[in-house]
Amino acid sequence: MKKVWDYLIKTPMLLVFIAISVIFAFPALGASAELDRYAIITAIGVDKGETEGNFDVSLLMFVPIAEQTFTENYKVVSAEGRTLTEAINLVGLHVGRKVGLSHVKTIVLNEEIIHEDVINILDFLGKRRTVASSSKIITTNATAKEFLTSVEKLDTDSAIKVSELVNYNHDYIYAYDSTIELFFKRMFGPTQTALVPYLKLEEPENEGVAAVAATDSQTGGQGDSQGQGQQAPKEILNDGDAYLFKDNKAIVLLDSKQVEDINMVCGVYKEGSIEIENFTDGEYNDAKLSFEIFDNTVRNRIVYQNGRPIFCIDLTLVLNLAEAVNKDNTVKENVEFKNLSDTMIQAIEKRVREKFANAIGIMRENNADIGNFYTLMYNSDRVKFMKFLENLENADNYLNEMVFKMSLKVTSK
Amino acid sequence: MTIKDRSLTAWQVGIMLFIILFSNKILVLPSLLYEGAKLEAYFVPIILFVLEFGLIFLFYRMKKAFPTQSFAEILQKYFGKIVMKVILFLIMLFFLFKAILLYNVTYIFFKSLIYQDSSNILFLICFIPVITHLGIMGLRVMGRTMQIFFPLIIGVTVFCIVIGLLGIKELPLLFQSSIGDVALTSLKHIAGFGDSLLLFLVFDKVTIKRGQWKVIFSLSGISMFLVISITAVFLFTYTYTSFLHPFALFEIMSYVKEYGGVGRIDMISMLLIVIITYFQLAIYLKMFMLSFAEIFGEINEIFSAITFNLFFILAINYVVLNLGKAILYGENFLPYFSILPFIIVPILSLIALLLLKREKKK
Amino acid sequence: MDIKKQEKKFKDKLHNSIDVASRNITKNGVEICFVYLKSITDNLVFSQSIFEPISIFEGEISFDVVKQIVKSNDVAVAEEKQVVEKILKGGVAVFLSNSEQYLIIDIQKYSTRAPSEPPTSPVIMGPREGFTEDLKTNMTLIRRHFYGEQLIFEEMLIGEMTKTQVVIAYLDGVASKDIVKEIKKKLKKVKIDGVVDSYYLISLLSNRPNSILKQVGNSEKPDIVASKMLEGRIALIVDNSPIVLTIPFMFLEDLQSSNDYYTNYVYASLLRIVRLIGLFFAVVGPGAYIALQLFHHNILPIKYLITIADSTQQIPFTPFVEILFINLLFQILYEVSLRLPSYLGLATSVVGALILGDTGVKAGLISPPSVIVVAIAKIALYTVPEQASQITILQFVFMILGAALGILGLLGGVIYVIAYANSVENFGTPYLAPFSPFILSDNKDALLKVPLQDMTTRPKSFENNDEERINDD
Repeated sequence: MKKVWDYLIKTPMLLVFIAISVIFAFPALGASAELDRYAIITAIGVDKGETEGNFDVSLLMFVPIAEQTFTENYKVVSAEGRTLTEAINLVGLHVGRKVGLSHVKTIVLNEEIIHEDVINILDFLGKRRTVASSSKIITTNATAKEFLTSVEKLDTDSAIKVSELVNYNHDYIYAYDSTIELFFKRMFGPTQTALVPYLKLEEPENEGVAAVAATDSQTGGQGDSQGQGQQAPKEILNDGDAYLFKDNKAIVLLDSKQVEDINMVCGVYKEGSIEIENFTDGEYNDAKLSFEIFDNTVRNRIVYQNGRPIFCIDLTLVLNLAEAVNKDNTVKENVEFKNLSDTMIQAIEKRVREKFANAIGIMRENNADIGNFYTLMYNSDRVKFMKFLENLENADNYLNEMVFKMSLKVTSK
Repeated sequence: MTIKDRSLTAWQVGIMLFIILFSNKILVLPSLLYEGAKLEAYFVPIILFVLEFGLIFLFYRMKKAFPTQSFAEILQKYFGKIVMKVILFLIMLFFLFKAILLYNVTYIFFKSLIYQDSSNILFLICFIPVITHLGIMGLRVMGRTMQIFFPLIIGVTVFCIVIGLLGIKELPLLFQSSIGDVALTSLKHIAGFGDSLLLFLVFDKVTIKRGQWKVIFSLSGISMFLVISITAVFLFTYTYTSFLHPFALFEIMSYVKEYGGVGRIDMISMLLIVIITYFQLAIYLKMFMLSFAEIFGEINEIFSAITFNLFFILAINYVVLNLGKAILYGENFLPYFSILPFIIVPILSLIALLLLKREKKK
Repeated sequence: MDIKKQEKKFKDKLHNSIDVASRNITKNGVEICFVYLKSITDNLVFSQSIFEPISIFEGEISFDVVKQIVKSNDVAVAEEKQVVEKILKGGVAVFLSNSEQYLIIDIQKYSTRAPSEPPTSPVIMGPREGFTEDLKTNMTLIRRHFYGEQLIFEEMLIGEMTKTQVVIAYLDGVASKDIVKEIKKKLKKVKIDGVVDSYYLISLLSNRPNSILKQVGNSEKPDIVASKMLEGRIALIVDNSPIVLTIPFMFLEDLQSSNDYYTNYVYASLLRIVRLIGLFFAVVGPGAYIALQLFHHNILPIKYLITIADSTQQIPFTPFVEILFINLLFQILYEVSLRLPSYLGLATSVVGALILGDTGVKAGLISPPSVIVVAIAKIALYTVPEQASQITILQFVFMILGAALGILGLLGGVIYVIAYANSVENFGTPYLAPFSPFILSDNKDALLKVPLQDMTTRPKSFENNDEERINDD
């Protein structure tokens, strides 16, 4: 015994290891996995509570099922509280688990709530270390609870996830401000402007681009969170709309065309198409032409004239004629391999200038510097720009006082 | 030929210096710097690293002048035993307090991210035995162990910076803060610097052959460059929301974690932070032990290690493991100790050099 | 000399064992006695080369005459106290009534295994010879690699009862004399009743015998031992053991394989990296899996989480117990496969695979991800088979660390193990050389391998007498 003790004294790390095994590893034998103690949340929805000043928080929770088919089973659970923290804690009480927000991908805000100070709502989520800063924010016309209920069906029953839908928006089309981090960055930046996607929840008869039709309810009777009535489930429609936020509040809903125009001007719109109607030239007779955009390069130049900045946007578009729909007859040539004619280019230029004017008009009307022109002008020539601002009656109104010009170069693929 | 040399090699010292120069600078500091110096906050580490580099250069001159003596012997010779003991006592406290701050920040980092349900005891059990073992095993073992991890550390750091660069989408408003803001911020956060004081404690334990000085200067230079890069990348990634993200290196990776498509690539930065923290705490412990031995004479190493651990645990419980308190402690209390590496030790060293020169003239 | 008396004396010393044999003849008035052990001598050689020449000799018989007429080149004169020892080594003792001297002729013969490919070190291309249990054969196998005059064999006898021959082999001018001296010193200090295998000497030669880290190298292949001797190492050949020891040892040696030297150097480098990754996964894998389940579920991406969550829903065991259980099953299977006769091996494999791979999962006792993790870890263990025992122990340790402390504990464990390995030095050689201390020139044949023509120097990680492999005289 003494020899054993002497040996242990000579190797103290062995003693430490034995202590660790006894104190920590023995209890670990009986410790269940964290997955059994935490509710995995993939989406959060926030609505106004029934009581004034309260929040109704709905959480889309992943529910594991003991199957080898690795199906994803979701359930919506909601609770109302004076603050988001209280509401989330109540949800935890309802499901009997701690709420784990580290897998949240989507944050859904009801349309009503976004017209108030949304930063306070998002503040809690933005500061939580566990909530990923890459979580996407979306706004919706329905309540967030209804939206998540539809999402629940979608995520459970199909391979298309709402998060993928939102990612697609984010990466390929517009609304590049829609992660929680980017949203905060824009709100704390000089422009305090952001775009957030708007996804509608509509009855199935509505026209529009449906994501996937939600199936009949077959959610396995998991929760008491349904209770939405017996009518046909609603569809999520992604029309490409976005809400414009300014000073932490949503101010105007932009339709997809408006958003497209803005993003073309800002150089974000790398793909997509330009449509021209009533085009007549050669064999084209009152035709509708669709040009596919292969590349869109935006270069900015700022010059000052009499103390006034002239923001020149040099836009280079690489296009290809993808489709021609003639009024009376089909175009006989293979349009894809044709070069763009001068008339086409003129028509395109006209169209692009219309888009440009639309975009600038939206920004000026709402005093929303979506293109972050403030930063570009500040970094280009700080002294002149600050002087320009100082000379204005209202420094916030700089968009209306500055001049925008566009030069366009169109080439074919 | 064999490797029979028992002292630290230039590479090992260089790697220790490399690691220690990281310290808190890759976690909390960039976010704190933003509050004072906005997006020009990356100038703060540049300025303070210039001072740090000066300290390393001073070590170089001292080592050339006193090749075999220890720093304690030099102090004793020129300034007396009492001054030597006082300085070493302050150095001992300096490293202890830095260890406390580092542990606090790391604890909060892990607790908020991946150890939500765990207690402080678990963290103490993780760190204390390993760093004590490293400290007791000696500088040589410590140096060799760091040598093994060095390619991983430098590789992952560079990887994190490169990945972070992908997260920079647009330029923010530049040069919004003034030189005065930068200077004040530098003073306020000077506590995060001054770690190259360790060189003075390993003064007599390192053998640097001719031509090997460039190893030390290069490694410290690379470390400083990486810290400045991390700070800059962090600031340009998060711009106006930098104050919301207290853990710089992790946040850089976290921001782009979806980009890679492999899921949680921010875990790589977390692993790097763990490894660096272990080594930094071990170095702090070892420096404490070395100063302790100089003050109280040749004493059982385990005793000095236990002393460190006791004070460490007591102080941590006092600071109550709260990020706000840790930051206050780092901003209000620790900067006073920074006069040690940036004023006291340099002045004493310069005086010693002058006195030596005079002696040689005689 | 009284022949009868001496004969009885020797037979009594040999306890009149049933394999003790003696022959007496009288030649021209001189009595001649032969004493030997039938079990370890060649009876045919005895009859034809020793007995017959003496019995047909017609002249005056004397000790010197007998010495000349026996047909053997292994003839020696021994003292009385050495006779029994020599008989026990397979010699025939010849003594005459008209002489006080003893003649020992070595006619040792016993059945041994022919050199064959060792099961622990198979190669795709390269030599397939392996050491056997016979010392002489092993010495021959090494001698065949060195036709120069530098090869030295020195013999020692270890073990009070077994008196096992241990041969120290090294290259003069290459191996360090200090290390040879130190080895001899350590072997002389050995107090043991018997050495049955070379493994017995390992702990006796190690600086830290209680450490789990291997501190003495070993190999079953002569080409590997020869190449290690060319680098400056010393080989210890132990009688009755097919495992030859090499000193000094570094961890790197187990990361290398003989295959690496008989294949393309780029491929060899790749394989070494794979081995290191396999080693790391084998040690840390199961522990990391447990840590992720118990502490860090939020690290896992959602898709992995769904897989694990769905798989582990109905499992009655907690994650730690489940992994321990699967580990135990694997270990039992492994032990059984070692000990079972080969004709039962197939049945066991099928039963084991079915129990673990299929029935256990279907019954809901264990989950597929756990089985995969443990299976990969167990297989990865054998990327470095020489370290299998150490890795198995560390696997278990890291499972406990992962369960108790999570990722911090695992990484702390990794740092501790590496620091511990760094503190181990045997015969002045750091265990983790040339990685730490980092020796650039030795890294040409460490994790990465360069072409043979670029390996012009001997390793600096341990002491040797000649740095350059080729000396331009």
